[in-house]
Amino acid sequence: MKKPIKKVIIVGANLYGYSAAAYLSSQLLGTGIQIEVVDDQSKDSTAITSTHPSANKAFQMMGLDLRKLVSQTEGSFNLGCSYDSWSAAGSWSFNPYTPPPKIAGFFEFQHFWLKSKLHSKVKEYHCYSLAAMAARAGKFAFPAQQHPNPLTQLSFGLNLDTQKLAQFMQTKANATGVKFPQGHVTGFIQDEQGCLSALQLDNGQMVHGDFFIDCSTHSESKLSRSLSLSWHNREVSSTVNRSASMVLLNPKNAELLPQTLLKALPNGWVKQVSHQSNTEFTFVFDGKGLSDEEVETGLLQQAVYFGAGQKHTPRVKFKTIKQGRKEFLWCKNYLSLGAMALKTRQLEFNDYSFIFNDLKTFVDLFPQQKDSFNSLEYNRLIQADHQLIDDYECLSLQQANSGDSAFWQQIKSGQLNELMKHQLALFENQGRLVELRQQLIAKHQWVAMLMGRGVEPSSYHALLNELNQGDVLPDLHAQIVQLVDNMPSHASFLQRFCRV
Amino acid sequence: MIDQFEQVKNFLILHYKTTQREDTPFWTYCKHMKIPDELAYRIELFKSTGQIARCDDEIFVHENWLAVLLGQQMMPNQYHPKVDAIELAQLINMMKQMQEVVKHTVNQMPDHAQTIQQYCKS
Repeated sequence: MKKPIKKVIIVGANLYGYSAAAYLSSQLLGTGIQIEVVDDQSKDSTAITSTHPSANKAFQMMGLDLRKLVSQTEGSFNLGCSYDSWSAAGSWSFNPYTPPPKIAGFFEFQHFWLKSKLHSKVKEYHCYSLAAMAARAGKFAFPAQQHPNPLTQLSFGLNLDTQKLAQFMQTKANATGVKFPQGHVTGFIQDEQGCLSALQLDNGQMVHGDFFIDCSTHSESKLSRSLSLSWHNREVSSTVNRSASMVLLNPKNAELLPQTLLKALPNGWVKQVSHQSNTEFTFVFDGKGLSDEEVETGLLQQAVYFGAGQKHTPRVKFKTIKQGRKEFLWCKNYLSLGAMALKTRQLEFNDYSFIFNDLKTFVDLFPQQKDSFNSLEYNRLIQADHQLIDDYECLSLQQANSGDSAFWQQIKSGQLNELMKHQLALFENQGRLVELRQQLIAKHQWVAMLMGRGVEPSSYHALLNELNQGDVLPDLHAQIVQLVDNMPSHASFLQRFCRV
Repeated sequence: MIDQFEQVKNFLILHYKTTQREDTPFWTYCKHMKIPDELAYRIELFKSTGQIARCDDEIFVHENWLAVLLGQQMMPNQYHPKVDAIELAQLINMMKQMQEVVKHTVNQMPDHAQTIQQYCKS
């Protein structure tokens, strides 16, 4: 009989490590499995973390109270991602987490919009999304319980203070029995089968374990390197290779936008995310085309434009971006998680977005012993998930029309794989999409992304002509405008939500 | 569609491959025949861990695979460690209760023929 897994060691005393510990300890409660988090001195790289709506279910499963979470982490709501100037200078589009309304039959919303557009005057695609219109107006509300209206069921992620969220997760993990040994990782020991058996710490202590989860945020961890786990990189020399970020205090009485804002500039793009107190700006660019000094000057000008009231000159932090995904995530008794498993391109998703998806799959496939067949199933599933995120980002960038600078020309010359070529062709021709796993990126998000890039299908679903129904879009738009008018501002909603 | 045909084909092959019978040349052949890699993977995963490979958007879902595998007496070597969070006596009790509910419900049901007679006699 092989030795069962009794102790799980998580490497990384950071947001990823504490979140993994809090989630696992809540889901493995009662099994007698002990969890420890060991510090490898890797730090969190962003000041504000945006979560994906799928994390809300994980928070619920962990028994976290949303109100407490939001109020203790400076949290704000996030309805999706707006793209400024991505299909032409001055263009605006929105990719909401909330699906569009169901109108009739099995037809997806875009077919109604396309038909309407061919026969009458129609407003821009985002004008029929409550989430988009509310996000643009800086408004947010939960659905009214007294007069339920399916339109008001908004899906949302959260924008949270990274450091406070890490503390929150650590406290939660601590309460469910997770231990945090003192000291920092300096090395590790493997047994004769090549499985990890212990970590060596700088205080001379050894931390023994049966299974190890690597949540390091170093560009490559010692453990991963020594196990020779390689990365799969789509582009050999990517133009998206450097980022500069700064955190600013929100100006008094300024609008608090419930969204992630991505603004295309001639030589890169700026990602802007706000929580209750601060806004983080991240400029993504090509380090070969722009110097750090030039970027810093540009960002500091942005700070002046953003508003007065900054106590100090903001500090600009530079980072190298190396997009990629691990080829093998679970190898013997070692699992790569978070930034050690998938590095995104600073678009609408981040390295934290799908961490709970990966953790849930891991718990579903939790192994009985060190070298388990379950690793094959985990790798099969999560590799496919990560590839889909990679594909989405590639298509999203390749379809951008943000000017003809060398940076954007290079981006546009990116190659699509066969699946994405098929996805694009199918959409262009018939407004339809390939049936892909929708848990991470829903169909309507592919549609909104493509529409936002100006990809407009040449025809709509052929059977829609058989549906004997008038144009419902004008009414829908009017209803959305009225609903947005009656919504409170995001800032005042938060104030009430956190005070209760 | 091709993928779906392959999935259905694999599910059908599963019934023959996992037979315990070797009393006729037909069944002996089925038991030892070569099968597609994807199906072999699914059988091996179940045998060694008790897990059913995830089957999003497939015609035959988790319950269908489980019914055939267990129905053909394929007993996995392991179960999910989370089950150990339940006391053995409590687990046995839960299973007994579940069995009782099923038995009781079946006893309460009318005959199939009687139901047809009552609701949809042609």
